[in-house]
Amino acid sequence: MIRLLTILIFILCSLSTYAQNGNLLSKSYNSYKAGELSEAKILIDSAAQSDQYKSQILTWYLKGFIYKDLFKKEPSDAARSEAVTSFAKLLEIDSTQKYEAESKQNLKYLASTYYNEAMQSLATNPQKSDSLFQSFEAAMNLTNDSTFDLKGSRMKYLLARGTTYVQKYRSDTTEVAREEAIASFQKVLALDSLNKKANYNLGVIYYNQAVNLILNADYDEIDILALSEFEDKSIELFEQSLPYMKAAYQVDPQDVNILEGLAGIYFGLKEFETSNKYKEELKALSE
Amino acid sequence: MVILLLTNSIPMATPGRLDGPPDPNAKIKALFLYNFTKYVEWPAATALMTPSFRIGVYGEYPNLVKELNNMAATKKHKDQPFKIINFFSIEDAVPCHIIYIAPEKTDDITALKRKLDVPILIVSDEIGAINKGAVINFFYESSKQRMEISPANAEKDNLKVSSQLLGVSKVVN
Repeated sequence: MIRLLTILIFILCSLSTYAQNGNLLSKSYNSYKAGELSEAKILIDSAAQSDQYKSQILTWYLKGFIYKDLFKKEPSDAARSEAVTSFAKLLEIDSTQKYEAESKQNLKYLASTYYNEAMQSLATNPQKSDSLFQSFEAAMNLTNDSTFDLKGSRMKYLLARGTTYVQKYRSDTTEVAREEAIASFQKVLALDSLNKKANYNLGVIYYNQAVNLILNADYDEIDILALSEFEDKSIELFEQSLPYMKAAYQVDPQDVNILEGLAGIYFGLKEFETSNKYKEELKALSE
Repeated sequence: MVILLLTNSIPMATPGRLDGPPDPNAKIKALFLYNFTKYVEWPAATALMTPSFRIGVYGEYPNLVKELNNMAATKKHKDQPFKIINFFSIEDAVPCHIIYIAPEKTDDITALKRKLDVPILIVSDEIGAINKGAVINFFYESSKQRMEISPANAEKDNLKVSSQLLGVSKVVN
């Protein structure tokens, strides 16, 4: 803020055009400086729409700050989005790159608010979270920061998203929730095929589905003549689970949950020798 | 990031059986045993005359007992409620319509039949048990629970096995 003020005072005072009374930028800046954000907003919006100011770097610079502070004062998607758009516009037209670092810093701040909000909204409104996360990625892409691990953030978000849908599936058992969970973890694996958490969670989803299919079967619905077909379905799920759990094991062969998972999957597949091998490994870990 | 846990823990166990939940294989066996009540006929004249339809489990298989008890809580055999009886020695054995023999008790089949002396559908879970007098023996093939049936043993025990049940089983004598 202090830096902004210094820069703006210098620039605004040094340019006679801006020093004149009635200048929209000056007025907006003065309102901003006085903490009158609503007034500053009205003035900068007028400036940004006028032919006289819309091609000027300072217009977008000031607008970015005004909207950022409006968002900080009273968080709203519209203010934040307008701040991002303003800084993006500034980067687009600032051939001098004079304000690049500062604009990118502001974009990173705004991006971080999108990310945090996306994570917080997962439990209550996952659809909104997806939109917020997309905004985070878009804002971070504007910074063109090669040192930032955007892929890592994406994986963290997708893992959290998958977990949220698994929990949702546990409570309401809707097929949509299960599919969303699977899709989230699959996307993580597309970025990192050996991701332990994604592999483990996918293994668990299919394993649990197989076990629940059997344990919840009604005695009168599964006639002996159809038992073979019924077992085929559960075996298919155990088999779907296996490669994911094995991949997780490859990454961490001493994880208790993964060892339990493998023992359970092989048990479901009636491969008792292999199941016992993992149980022995599990036992050895606790000794 | 919350790591998911399996729905239940999987404890150590002897091959083919688990000591605690979840045990999908026990449920599958329970489904088979329940279905046997529909596809096997006990002779009216010599049948076990008890108010309940009795399914016994001879030996240690707590998960199977648990599954059968779950079934018994909601199902009936015609008008008869099910009663699940778990016993661990020949001395404690009581007459049942069906008795599942745990693998480690396979050698006791002859002695058990001699003691109870009523038509019992003996269901075993060990290779070679048909030769020891079991009518139906469970085995695994291609990850699936399968069964072999001895019509000869069934006839000796005065039991009538339906052709439908024979059709989905490996028939041996």
